[in-house]
Order: sequence, then C-alpha cells, then structure tokens
Amino acid sequence: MASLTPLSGTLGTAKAAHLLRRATFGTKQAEIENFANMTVTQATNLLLTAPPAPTPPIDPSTNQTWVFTDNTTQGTYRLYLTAWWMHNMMQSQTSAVEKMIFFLHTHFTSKFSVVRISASVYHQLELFRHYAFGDWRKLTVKMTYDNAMLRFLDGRTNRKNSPNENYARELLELYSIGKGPQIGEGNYTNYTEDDVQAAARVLTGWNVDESYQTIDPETGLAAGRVRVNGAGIPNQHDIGDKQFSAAFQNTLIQGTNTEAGIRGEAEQLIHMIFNQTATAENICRKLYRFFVNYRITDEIEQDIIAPLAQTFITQNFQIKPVLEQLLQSEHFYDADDTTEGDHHFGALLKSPLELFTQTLNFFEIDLPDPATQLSAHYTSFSRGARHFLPAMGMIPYEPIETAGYPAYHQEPNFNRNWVSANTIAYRYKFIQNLQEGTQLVGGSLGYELDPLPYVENATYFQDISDPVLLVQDLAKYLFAIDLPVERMDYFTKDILVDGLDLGYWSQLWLDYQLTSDASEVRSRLKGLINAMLQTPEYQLG
Amino acid sequence: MKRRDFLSAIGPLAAAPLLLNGIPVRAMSNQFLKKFAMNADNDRVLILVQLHGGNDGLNTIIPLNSYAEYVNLRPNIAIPDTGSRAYLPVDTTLPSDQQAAFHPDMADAKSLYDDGKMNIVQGVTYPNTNQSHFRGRDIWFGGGSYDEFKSSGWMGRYLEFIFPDFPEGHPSQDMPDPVGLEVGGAVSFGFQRDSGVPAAIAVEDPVAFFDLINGVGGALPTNIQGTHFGEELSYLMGLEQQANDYAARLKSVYESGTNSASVTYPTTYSGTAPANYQDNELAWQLQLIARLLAGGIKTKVFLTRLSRFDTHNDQTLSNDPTMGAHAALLYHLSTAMKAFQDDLQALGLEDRVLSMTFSEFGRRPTSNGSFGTDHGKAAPMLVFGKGVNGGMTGLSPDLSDLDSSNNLKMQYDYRDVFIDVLENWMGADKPTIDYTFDNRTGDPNINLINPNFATDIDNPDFSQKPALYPNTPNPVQDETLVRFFLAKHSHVKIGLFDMQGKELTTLVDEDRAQGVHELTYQVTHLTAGTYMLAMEAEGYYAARKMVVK
Repeated sequence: MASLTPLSGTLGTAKAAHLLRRATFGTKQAEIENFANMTVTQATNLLLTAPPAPTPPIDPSTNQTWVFTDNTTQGTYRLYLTAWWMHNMMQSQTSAVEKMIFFLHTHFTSKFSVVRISASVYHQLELFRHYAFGDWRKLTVKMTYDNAMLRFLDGRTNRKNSPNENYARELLELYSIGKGPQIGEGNYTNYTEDDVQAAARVLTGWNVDESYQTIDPETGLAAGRVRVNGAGIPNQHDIGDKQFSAAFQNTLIQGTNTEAGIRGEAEQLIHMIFNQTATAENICRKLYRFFVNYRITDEIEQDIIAPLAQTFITQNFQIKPVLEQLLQSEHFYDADDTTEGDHHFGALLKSPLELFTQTLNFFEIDLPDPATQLSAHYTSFSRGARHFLPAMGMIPYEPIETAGYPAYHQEPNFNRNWVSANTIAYRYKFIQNLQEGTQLVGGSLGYELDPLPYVENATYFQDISDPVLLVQDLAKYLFAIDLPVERMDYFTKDILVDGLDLGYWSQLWLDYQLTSDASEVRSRLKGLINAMLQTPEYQLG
Repeated sequence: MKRRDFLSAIGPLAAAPLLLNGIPVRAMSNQFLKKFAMNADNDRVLILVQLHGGNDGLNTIIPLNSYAEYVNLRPNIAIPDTGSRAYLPVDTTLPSDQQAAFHPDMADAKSLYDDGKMNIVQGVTYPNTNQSHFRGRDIWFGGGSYDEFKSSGWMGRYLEFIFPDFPEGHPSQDMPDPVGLEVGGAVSFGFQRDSGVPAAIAVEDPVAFFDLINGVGGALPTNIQGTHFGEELSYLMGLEQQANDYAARLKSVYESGTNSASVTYPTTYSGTAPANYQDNELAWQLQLIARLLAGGIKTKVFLTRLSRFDTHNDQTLSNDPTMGAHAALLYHLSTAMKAFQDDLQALGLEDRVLSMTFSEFGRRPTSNGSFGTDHGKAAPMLVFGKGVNGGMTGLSPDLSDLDSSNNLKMQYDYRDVFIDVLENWMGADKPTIDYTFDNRTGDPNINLINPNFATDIDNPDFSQKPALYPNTPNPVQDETLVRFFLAKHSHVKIGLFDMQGKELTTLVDEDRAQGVHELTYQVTHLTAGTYMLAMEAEGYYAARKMVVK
C-alpha cells in the first residue's frame, strides 16, 4: 500500500535531488550532496524553516520602496515587483518558503492585470509568506479581506443591496472545500448555489484600503477595511442572518452591525467551511498534485490524502505538519509499494519558472544582487525572465483564468498544460539563448551559461577528460531518473565526441590544458549541454 | 525540431544525420481507402469562437418581447430603446415572441443577419447548468452533461473519429495539415483525446513557428519505460513530432495565401471602454484563418477566443449603459465576424466556412450594483456563414417566466446545436455523431443549415444512409464484432488496412440485403498495433480505427 511512513536512513543523491526539485526553485550540486547525507527529518527541518523576510523592493528613481505608500498602477512597478519576487525565489535555494508562496499564489489566484496595483500584490505575497508554513485557515480568513483579493474578485463592490458573489463563489469552489459532483439543480454536493449567495452576504461591506493604513494586528500587514459612514458606523454590510444548506449542517450565521461583528462573521464563515472534512481533503489533494504527482488513484486517496487531511485537521490547519508528513514519506520517494501511481521521480513537467530558476541555480549563474546593483538587477530581469517565461507559457502573477494556471487544476492533463508544440520549442530556445548569452528578443542577456568554467570550477567531476564520466556526473543531477544506456551513449558518443573515438575528447581536453585554447572544448561542452537540456527528459522534474 | 539545426547553430560541430527529415508524408496510395471518410472528404470547415468568461446574452440580443421586465431587472445596465445609441431591432417582421434587438454596437452583425448569413439560437445551455467558469467550460468542451466528467473534448473525439489514422498516419497526402488548429499558445480541452496528443496544434504566427521549430531541439530518446516519467516523455515526444510535421507546411500555406485587399479588419473599439478592452483580440485570429484557408489549408476545425466576458463589475459605464467593457467586446465580435465574412466572400471561400460562438454560461437577468452581472445559465449562440439558415431559432427569452433560481430557461441543449452543425454542415454520419456525443440523437427543431448547403439534401435521414459502426471490443484481443448498415440491397466491400494504407485482407465483398449486418473477425494473426477497417457501399466510404493488443 501507499505509505506515509517516514523514509529511514539518509537520502542519497537521487532522493535528495528529487526533494529539492519539488520543494525549491533549485540549488547547486554541493547543496544537493549536503542533503544527500541527511535523514528526511533533518532535510525537512531545513526546508521548512523560513529565512528572514526579504526587504521590500526598491524604486531606483527614489531609492525608497513604494509598497507602503504608492497605489498608482505604473507598469514599471510591476516589473520591479516581479523582478524582486523572482530574485527571492532564486535566492531561497534550500528553503521551501518561496515554493510554498508560489503554491499559495497558484491556489489563491490573483491576476496582476486585474489588481493592477503593485503595492497590493506585494502585501498579498507577504501574506503568503506570513502563513507559508502556518495556519491555512487563518490565511483564508485574511485572504477574504486582502486588498488585492478585494479587487481581483470584486469583494470591494459587494454591498448589502447589490451583493457581488464573485469572491464567495471562488472561495467555495477554488480556495477551500472545492466543488463536488453536481447532484441536482444548483447543488454541488459540498455546497449549493444558495450557499454561494449566503456567503456573499456574509462578506458584504468590505472595501480596499490602498493607503495601506489598515494594519492587521496578527500579521502586521496592510489589509482591507469595513465600509463605514461618516460616523464610523458600518453601512454596507447585510445585517440579516445568513442561512446555509444541509451541506453545512444548516448553519446559521447571525447578522451583525459592528465592525468586530463583521470580522467575526467572515471568520465564522471560514471556520464553517473548514469544519467540513472535504475542505482538508481538497487542500491536501492540491498539495499532493503540486508536490508529488497529478495522478490520484483510489489507493492514494485512501492511503495518502485521507490521513494527510486528518493530520491537517488535528493540527488545527497548520500546514507545516502536513508538508513534513508528505515530504518525509516513503511514498514521496517511491520507497513504498504502491500498486499503482508509483514512480514519482520525473513524473511532473517542470513549470517554466522551475525550468528557469533550477537551470540558473544549478549552473550557479549569479544574477545581479539588488542590494548592491539595483538597476542591473532590474535590467537582468527585463532582458531575461520577463521574455523567456511568457514564451514558455507563463506570465508570473497572471494565470490565464481565476482557477489559476491550468497545470494545477485542469483535468485530466494537469502539468502537461504547460506544454504545446509552441511552448516546448521555446523551452529549448531558452537553453540556446542562455548558452549564447542572448535575449529572446535579440541583444545581450548580460549573463550566460558557460559550461567550461562551470566544469572546471565544480569539484564533483571525477575526471573531466573522461567523456563517459563527465556525462555521467552531469546526468546524475540534471535528470530525475537514470537514463537508459543508449541515451547516455548518444550524449557521449554522438554529441560530445561527434561520432569519433572516445579518446578524441580526452585529447581535446589535454590540448586545452597545454595550449589554453578553449574554443574547441567550450564548443563541445556547449553542444553537450544543448543536447542534454534541449530534451524532453530535462523538462521532467 | 531537428538535431542538425541545433548542432549547426552552436558552431563547428559536424552535422549529424538528420533524424526527422522534413514532413514525413506518409503514403496513402490505396484509392479505396483514400475516399475512406466521406465526412472528412468534403471541404467544409468549422470555426468556433469562444466567448471566454460567460457572455451576457441579454445585452447581446435584447428581448423586446419582455423589454419592460428587462429594464426592471437590470435598470443600471439596460440598453435603451430610444436615442442615438438605442438597441437595433433584429427584424420587425418576426413574430412577437421572437422580437429582439442587437446591442447598438452590433450593426455589423445586423448587416450579416439582414443578408441571411446569421442565425441566432436562443436559450442554449444544458440541464442543471453549472455556474462555475471552469466546470462550465469543461462541460461545453467535453460535450457531456452536467454530471459527466469527460477525459476528452468533443472536437477531439470528432476529429479522431473522422480521421481514424490520426495521429499515426498523419500528416498524409490527403491530410497534410493539422486536423484541428487553435489560434493561440495552448490547445484547449475541447481538442483533447482520451489519450495521446490533442487533435489540434496551437499556432499564432506560422512563420515564427517554423523558424522556432527549426532552430532548436535534438534527437529524441528511443527507450521509453512504462513509468510516469515514461508517460510524460512520450507525451512530450508526440508534441515535438507534431511540431516538426506541421511547421513547414503551415508556413508554406500561410505564405501562399493572402487576405483580400478590399477588406480591412478592425483593430480597436470606437467607443469608451477600459483600456484592456480597446483592442480587437478576435479580428487578427480570423484574419489568419482566412489567409490559411486561401493558402489551401485543409484543417477541419478552428478555435478562436475572445476573452474578458466575466463582467461582474463595470460591464457598462456607470453613466452610459451602451458603452464600456461589454459593448467593446460585442463590437469586436460583430466587426471581426463581418470583416471575416467579407474577406471569405472576396476570396471565394464563403461556401466552405461556418462560424459559431459559444460561452460557458450566460449571465443572470438581474444586474448587480457594480454595473455588472453575475453567473447565469442560458444564452444565445450566434452562427454565421453563407450556408446558414438566416433567422432566429427559438424564442426571445420571456423574463416574466424565469426558472427557480431567477435565471433564463433552457430552450436548446448545446450538444444538439453542435450535432446539427456536424451532421448537416460537416456531413457527419451517424456513427460519428454517436461517437462524438454519446449516441445523442439531436433536436429536430434545430435546422441551422440552409437546405441548399445541406450535405445530403436527398437523404437528411440517417436511416437512408449506410453506416460502418466502430468494431467492439476495441482494442481487440482475439476477436471483434464488425457491424454495418445498408439502406438498401447493395454491394458492400469491407477491407482491413494497415496505417500505411496497405490492404491486408478483405472481410466482405458481395451483395447484401438492406438492414444491419454483423460479422465476427479473428485478429489472432495480426501483430499488435493500429489498423483501419474501411467500408464502401452505395457510394459511401467510411473507415474506423481498430487497435489490436
């Protein structure tokens, strides 16, 4: 059976690399080997500890941040914020915090183009960070009056006499309990159309505060506020009682007319939803699909999802114990004997974001540090990721629809939705551009993947002059599984030595040592990296 | 994605042998098989226009029969009956229960209607409409009912059924193009098949696509294991193969086609709307399709998309209900369709093309306080083309007779609208409809195709046509049942073919009586793989895929 029993012993390279591919945005070989010597407990202790929050993004024209003051919508602030976000991802290395923040963004989706105000998006990201390993139920309460969300799903226009049910519907359908089978007119098993309307009424009377003066005492972050009249009395909240269906045990949420009461109603609503086991199960299913495999069989439902959901419930919706249990489990490492749905290594197509960050981090390509090279930091983003990611099918903070990036919800293909005939070609083109140091749109990228200094400086190569060992040492970290011998032969014999004798490469390497003429070995190595990374195998993580 | 190119792109490496050599045109020389699918053999194409987000049907086609209720239910966004921006009556000669009007920004659509090139199908949805965008879209694309969870889309099923040699035998001399084409970066669920690559590729710019495909990639792996890793690998390889197969062809078709010089496609909205609603997202997509058609593309189904219909908020301007986000979208739709239709006419392609809109749901009759509308149920589908029966199908919605959730009542099931188009426009036979829409029989009250264009004027009735049903079971282990129907006593030939079009054996070659016939066929002598059964009778040709395990 599929098993949540913790894996015993130390991880070893393959399992450590698998864990880091799934739980981080990539790191270098030395860190993978560091994890290889750890037990799963040691590994998750390190992964699930958040480093200090990064300092906010800086506007280079003022050398100040704008995220507590400026609610204008200039596109440059979007660029700065996205660059800052990606820098955080790439810096997170062996912490899972940024992967969790990204996961939470895929779950509680917002689209930048709808929110439009970068400061509000910043506060939403920081809200994700605050609860990345914490209380998911509380995060859901806070999300309900998060400024970006109040804009994205129209909570700010949801008023007593004209309820707007946009957020209430997605709260139920996407953010918490999820839709069950439709079993009748307006009845989706887990909730009904009437529940959507009742939830919308509970959440009437909120507005954004884009002066960022309303600070949530629990998070210290800016939040939305209750709409009040000139005398400070709430005036847009529906004070009537809200009746929910049998799906929620006919819960009645009593109407209130004070600010505290209105906050209390939102909390009661979220607690009512989380009191249903289906909510914990739905969230655990999403976690599983994101971190392990999009295929969920009955066996996995029973042996993995159900006990994870129980952990989630008994731990009062703290997410960290659930992540620990999952990422430590024999199941995660294919070390159990699941009858079906096993072999998770390489079973998920990497997102464009993962392909980008994991490639740069593995090859230790350092991008400019905003602390010391602020404008170069923004330039490197606008020349690179800003074009590469959309070409590969992803615009950061801009999922195509409210349900999020299709890779994380669209049955039956899930992660396969990242690729089409077009986007797979751009994944390959990205590798080519990276090795040439060119932008997708032409011109210099400002950084490049030069494999020659990489292999020379790395200490893990057993013998660079041995073509078989060289390819083996790289493949061990670049691919999620051991590739068949003929594929390794292809990289070694057809590519590196170009169909010639294996000794050809050794001779080239020796010549390079003697003459310092790097052109030939660099060209061979670039050919090798192109051949290994412009493959379907490298897309799988 | 050719290995040679990426190697040469990186410098002095010697060119390795070319593994994927241009377009592998697979021979399908057998004349009998060549005509296999009468359905796939005509040159009709279908253009689907997805109105993404849930279109507000009531402000698209305004119900004049219950205009007072209309204003009463949505006073803040109701289209006025007077003034320079009043609604545009569809046709004052229609009976009173069909009286309706276009949004004032749909003058171009009205002109198509006046020319008999448009049919408005009222009240389309399905029983127990799901008001989730995502589930709603899956249902419309999946072609099922509210409680069915499909793993393939109806377009995918339709295309794989009429092209039984897809994808193994594609591209071929007879079908050198992708069977389906989506304008965009990704392929929608509607084109997905139960397994394997989707029955469409997504393209925005054929020339850039070709250059891209030819500049990257490498040799593909050959040893694929039966793990999830292996499954994903196979999927990716299938996509690469598709890209390779079609890139050069699409470029050549695109470059040999042109749009008509006399037609200008619209680019922006002329009224007031939010900035992100100004640009016409649909026009260039239709323009591309017209050019590809002019260049000779044989693709059967195209999918385009106009998005941002989820107008909970600021659907109209607060001071002018005739302008704003939704008005801009309707303007884009209406002007783009008119330009497309004019272009097709000028190019001499008008007889071949039918276009139709769909959206995951309509919006609620009652507006909200944000000058917007929440998720609703039924809405009109708009069908365009010279082959259309111009006019209105169904009645204008009666707003004094809403359902229990205060939504519009259903008049037609969306599947029956698609069935009518597949059957009478695309020429689908009964087994094709059965396969695509789970043996659904359609709705005799939907007649969207002009009789002059109906694919089989003499025999609109399936009982008058022969048919070859899919063999069962399929995949086959040892033996399978082959069923066929003859409308009259006639000669029938059924042959078994491999994917190269070579006839392996003849199962039947004799006169048979009218009626359903069955025969059992042993496959134990065949190696595992994909084959085709093809039938010829009464001038009818059909082929079905048979998989031997």
